[in-house]
Amino acid sequence: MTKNLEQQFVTLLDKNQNIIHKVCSVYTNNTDAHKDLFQEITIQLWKAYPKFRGDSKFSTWMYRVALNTAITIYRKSKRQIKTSDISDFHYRLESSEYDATLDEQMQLLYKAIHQLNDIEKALILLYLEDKPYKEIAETIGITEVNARVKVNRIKSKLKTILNP
Amino acid sequence: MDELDKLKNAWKTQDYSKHKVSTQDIYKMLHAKSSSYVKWIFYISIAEFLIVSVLNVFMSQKKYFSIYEKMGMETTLQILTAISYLIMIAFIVLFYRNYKKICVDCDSKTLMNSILKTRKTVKKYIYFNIGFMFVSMFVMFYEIFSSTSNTLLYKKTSNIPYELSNTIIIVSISIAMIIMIAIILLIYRLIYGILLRRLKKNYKELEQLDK
Repeated sequence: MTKNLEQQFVTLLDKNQNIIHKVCSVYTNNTDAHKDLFQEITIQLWKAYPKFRGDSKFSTWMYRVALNTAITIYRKSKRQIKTSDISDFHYRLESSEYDATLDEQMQLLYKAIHQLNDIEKALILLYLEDKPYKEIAETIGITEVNARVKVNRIKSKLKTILNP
Repeated sequence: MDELDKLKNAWKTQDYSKHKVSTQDIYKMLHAKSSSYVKWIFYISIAEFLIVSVLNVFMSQKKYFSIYEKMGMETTLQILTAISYLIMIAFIVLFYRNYKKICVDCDSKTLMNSILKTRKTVKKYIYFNIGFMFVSMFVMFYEIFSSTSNTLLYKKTSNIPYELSNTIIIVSISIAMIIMIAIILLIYRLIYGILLRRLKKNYKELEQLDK
């Protein structure tokens, strides 16, 4: 039974692992920290999985656990090297669509996101993922109106950083 | 279409193959050790309950209290010990119930609130014990210094010169207790200040968002 559950979970996680990578890329800025956070999110997802009843989509549930882990649960490992290596996070766009200018802008976007606080990072990540405001509000635990207002403020903040 | 909307499209087509984790590695991760704050808060809270219980057991040892027995203060001591144990059990039950409510798949605000609430239970327990220590101390002072024979016995066994006034003894012991508790509280606040700094900051930020 546990083996089956484990297998089912790993298959689902593998299919959706980009969600965790996106959260890690927003909350960390080097490969070691990325790996460390990825592991902690996986552990927390696995611990919470038996309670997952499918009321929401697996991916929606994953965002919630992953963001909660990054914002609240995760304790940074002392082993991590405290360097900021953005080039390590050269999140190239899929090769067929490669565009150097866009790639550069993406790097700038990452740099700008890294300047935001933990809550702002979560809000902008969900916005960039095209999540409806209702879902953003429910994930964070604020009202839909406030989620909309805050996201708009962060967007303006990001635009200022992107176009100094 | 504004600049961020354009980037939004690019955001979704990012290639994470460089960071792809194999299914074998995911299996390994499921059994890896977690380094979560909740785990640390749980361990520290358990340690706090244990330390206080050990202190209570130590303080209620017969050998330690033989002098008070001679003074006829057994009943007072038994009542104080029973109250402290009952309160401890109530706090442990409350702590466990709050701890079980911590859910990583709740919304962020609820999760933070439940962690802080669990933490607050232990904090209240520590504060209760400090208060209880003072109440017990003053009950004991009353029992010792309201009877001349008890005062004599106390001074003799504690090697306190008979000429020393009762007021000086009470004030000195109280000051020593206050200094000791202040040091403990300072260390306590420092540990939790570091441990909960980020959580409190984020919770405050969320609360401000909903104002």
